[in-house]
Amino acid sequence: MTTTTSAESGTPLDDSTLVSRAREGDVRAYEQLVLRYQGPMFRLASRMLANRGDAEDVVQEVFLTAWRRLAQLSENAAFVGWLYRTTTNRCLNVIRARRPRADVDLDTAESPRADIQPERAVQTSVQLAALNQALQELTPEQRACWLLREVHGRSYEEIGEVVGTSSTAVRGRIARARAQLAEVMRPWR
Amino acid sequence: MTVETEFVIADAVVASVAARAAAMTPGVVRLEPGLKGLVTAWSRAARQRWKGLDPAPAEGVRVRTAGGVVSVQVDIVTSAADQAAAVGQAVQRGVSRAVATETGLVVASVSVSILDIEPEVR
Amino acid sequence: MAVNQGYELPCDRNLELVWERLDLVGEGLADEHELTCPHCRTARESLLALREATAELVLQTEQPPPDLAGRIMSAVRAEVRRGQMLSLPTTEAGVVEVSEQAVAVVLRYAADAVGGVRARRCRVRTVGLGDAGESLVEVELTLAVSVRASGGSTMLDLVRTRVSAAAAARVGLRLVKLDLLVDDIYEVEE
Repeated sequence: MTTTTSAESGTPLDDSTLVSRAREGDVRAYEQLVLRYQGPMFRLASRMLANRGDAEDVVQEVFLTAWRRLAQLSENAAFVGWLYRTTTNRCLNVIRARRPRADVDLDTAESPRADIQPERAVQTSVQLAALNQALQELTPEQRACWLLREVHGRSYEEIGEVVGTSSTAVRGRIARARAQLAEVMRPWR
Repeated sequence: MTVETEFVIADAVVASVAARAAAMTPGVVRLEPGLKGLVTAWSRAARQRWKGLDPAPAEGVRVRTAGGVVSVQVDIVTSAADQAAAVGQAVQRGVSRAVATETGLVVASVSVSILDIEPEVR
Repeated sequence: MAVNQGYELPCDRNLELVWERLDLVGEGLADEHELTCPHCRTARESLLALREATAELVLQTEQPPPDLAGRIMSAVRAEVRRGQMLSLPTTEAGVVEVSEQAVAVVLRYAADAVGGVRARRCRVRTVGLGDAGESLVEVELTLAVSVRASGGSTMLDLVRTRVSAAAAARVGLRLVKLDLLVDDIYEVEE
């Protein structure tokens, strides 16, 4: 018996149903949520932290905490928003706890790992490399606002709740981030 | 990154010291690994450097170092001859003291899970 | 500078406005200023490059390491196994807890000590936390009684006393309710 697809069509279950079951203690349902959202959370964290190892640690903690806090969710639909908010907050905490460094390293401290996907060795486009570099030059709060909006499509209200400001202030941050990023992108056109 | 390496080696040492201190506490029958044979290093940095460390981290004991704060988790089996709560508290104290004495590290908290209680033989 | 406005070009046009009008201009709906202003043109080019790069970033589906989900689920399952843990009092920093199974062993053992009684099932339910951090529990103990038992209610009272005492003295829990259910009789072999 499978708990993770609907009986009728074998289609994957929607988030709300999975969360509802996970709240009842259904571990297999929770696993589906992990598989579904570990990718986006990992990508958010690694772009926030510029370090895959740190991103991994953050994502682990977030999903374990999410399991423990399931009972406290006000509604099933709040789960994904909670994931984004918690991942972002953890990343901001990690950044604050880092010793100040003259320049931001992009994975330079990592030892090679056998399971790195082959694609990673492929050159990302010059344009994308420039964007990645420019993102690290934003303030952490600007980077968070920009990523949550432009890559993850979260609402201004939600982003405001994460960083602790109004949605108006969020728009302002994104506008300033955009200006700074555009400035860097200029030679590439 | 020498500081990072020291941190991770300390985790394994703390685990061994904690395991010994817990096992020697009166009322503790043995340590009880919750997931038998599975030694997990939680942080990626710890996992990368865990191989090659000797002794391997003690089962039944988990040490978590986050932001310079050390917490220890111990899973034990106690004897019914002693009150479980009292043994639990004794383990907390014993582990803190041993870790401080033998490594100089201050443990922020020691959590004890008593997974089983063995009755006295009648 | 108003919070919402962001950045102004040397020609006094707002960058966010240029951003919002990117597609309109591309469709030939540029206004007089946009057609001629070099600042706006440069800004448009930069923003288009940014938009393209952003689209690339969105499509990048770099996956976390393959063992990440497994590690998370191992930890989750370990939490489930410890799910039935009861809190015990302590003055030290950290949590001391005991598994429900362990408590059941102790309480059944205490009941067994009473002649003519055998404990069968023991269910423990947490209903609150005491001041010292100890769990307040309700216990349902299912017993089998010897066919030769003569104790009646005195025997059950003894079980009640022994089990309550054991909960406090052997474990450290506070028993707020104890239900005894006799659901079987057993024969004593000679």
